[in-house]
Amino acid sequence: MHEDLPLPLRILRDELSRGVVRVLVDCAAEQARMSAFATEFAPATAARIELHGGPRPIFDLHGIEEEIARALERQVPLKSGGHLVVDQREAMTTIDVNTGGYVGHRNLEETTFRTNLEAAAGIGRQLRLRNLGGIIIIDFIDMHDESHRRQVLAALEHSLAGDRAHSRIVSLSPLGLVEMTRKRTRESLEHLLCEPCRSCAGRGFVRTPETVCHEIFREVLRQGPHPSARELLILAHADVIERLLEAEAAALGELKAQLGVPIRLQVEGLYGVDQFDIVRA
Amino acid sequence: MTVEILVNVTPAETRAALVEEGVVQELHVERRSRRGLLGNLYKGRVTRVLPGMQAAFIDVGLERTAFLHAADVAGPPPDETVAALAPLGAPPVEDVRRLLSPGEDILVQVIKDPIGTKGARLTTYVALPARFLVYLPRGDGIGVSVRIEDEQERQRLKAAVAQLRGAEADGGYILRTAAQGVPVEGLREDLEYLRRLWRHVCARDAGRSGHAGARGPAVAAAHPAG
Repeated sequence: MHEDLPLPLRILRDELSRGVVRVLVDCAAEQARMSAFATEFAPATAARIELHGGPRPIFDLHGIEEEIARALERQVPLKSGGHLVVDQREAMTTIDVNTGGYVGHRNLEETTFRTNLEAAAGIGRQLRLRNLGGIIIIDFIDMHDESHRRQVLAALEHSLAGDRAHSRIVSLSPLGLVEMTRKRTRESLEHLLCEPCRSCAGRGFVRTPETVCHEIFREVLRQGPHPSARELLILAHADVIERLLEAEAAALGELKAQLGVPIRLQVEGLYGVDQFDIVRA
Repeated sequence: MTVEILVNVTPAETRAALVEEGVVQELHVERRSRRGLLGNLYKGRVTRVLPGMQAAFIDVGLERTAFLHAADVAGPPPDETVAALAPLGAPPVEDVRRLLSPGEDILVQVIKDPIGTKGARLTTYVALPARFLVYLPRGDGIGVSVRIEDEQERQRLKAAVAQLRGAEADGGYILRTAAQGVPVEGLREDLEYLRRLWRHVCARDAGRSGHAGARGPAVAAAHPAG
């Protein structure tokens, strides 16, 4: 029921009271509608809703397009040279903190602490930006100093403070994982704008050409020699064919000898790496 | 804190960015293809009353007529004989024929989006949400979300809304979970907004009924605040 208002009015309703100094809209009709709404809801703020003119698209001008693109990336670079890796999975979202090549400080503990501190400060923003909800597990880099741990947790808490969605840091596990939850309001940005990868069905991994070559061999052997077959045609992805011709050439030769029929290879441009067909001709 | 909101509108998609102190903090995307009708208010016309199903079909100007069950119709106080006849345990439901008659115009709200070939499901128990409050123009009393567990806070919120509402018995209010810890001022803003909104809907509703005979059903509000 909270979702009834169209986005522009909903955001006015939720944010106007929080000190919005300016609302820029690139559509005159929408601007009029928002002004009318603001007049009704909080009259003093109606004048702050302005029309964006000018030739440059509003989201380009303010760098929002880039922000959206970045918010869909898996890696989030940190200023110190470290980075976060954000993965939204079925059961939970995981955030891994890495130092990268950051060696700005003399000792390891100090480097770790600085990176974790920066990560903690950035995580709150990433959760909001990406609208990630549910269970969130953060794998900070191991810290041995108790006071460092406390400071990193405090930084995390601080970074969550400006968030309208309620979140709760549940615990710091014995392995140093921070368990937290953030109230799920609506779909995450990733789920709104993206779909699972069509090649790997969202797994993130596909079988290697080598694995597929061996599958092809097994499949050919399973079929066995066929009396009427004059030749076997193997259709596969370019990487797989290339491997059959080079690294697997000897094995392919043995297979030909075993079957007693020629094997023809053909690159099929539309196949994924893990797709192949074997045809008798 | 300096907050700016940037809104980019294209025919099928609206995007908004919330920028705090020059840093983008939130991104919102809404697509027309995904927008449901849930919560929309319509001025609808009763097309068929089905006593066997204790329901009616209402023309709200959508592709398909919408479904309204007798249990979702706010009616006159229940007839005692009907209540007595209802099977024990089941809540007594008013005979749909007593509540609705074909050709009648009523204000309804969508409680379930149309799915596949099924039309939308409606109610006449309108609920208008704001940030902290939900206003039930046809309800009564003040309820507090069970997720606000602190008894003192529950009492504070209840008392605050009771006072803001004043003596005017203008329906019921529900305090949402988000109301926890919110100062009275925030509640007042919401309450005043909801009252204005409801007056606005009623005014449009009254405006429509004058022409009801001549015109087909019309959207009373494309959504509660539209």
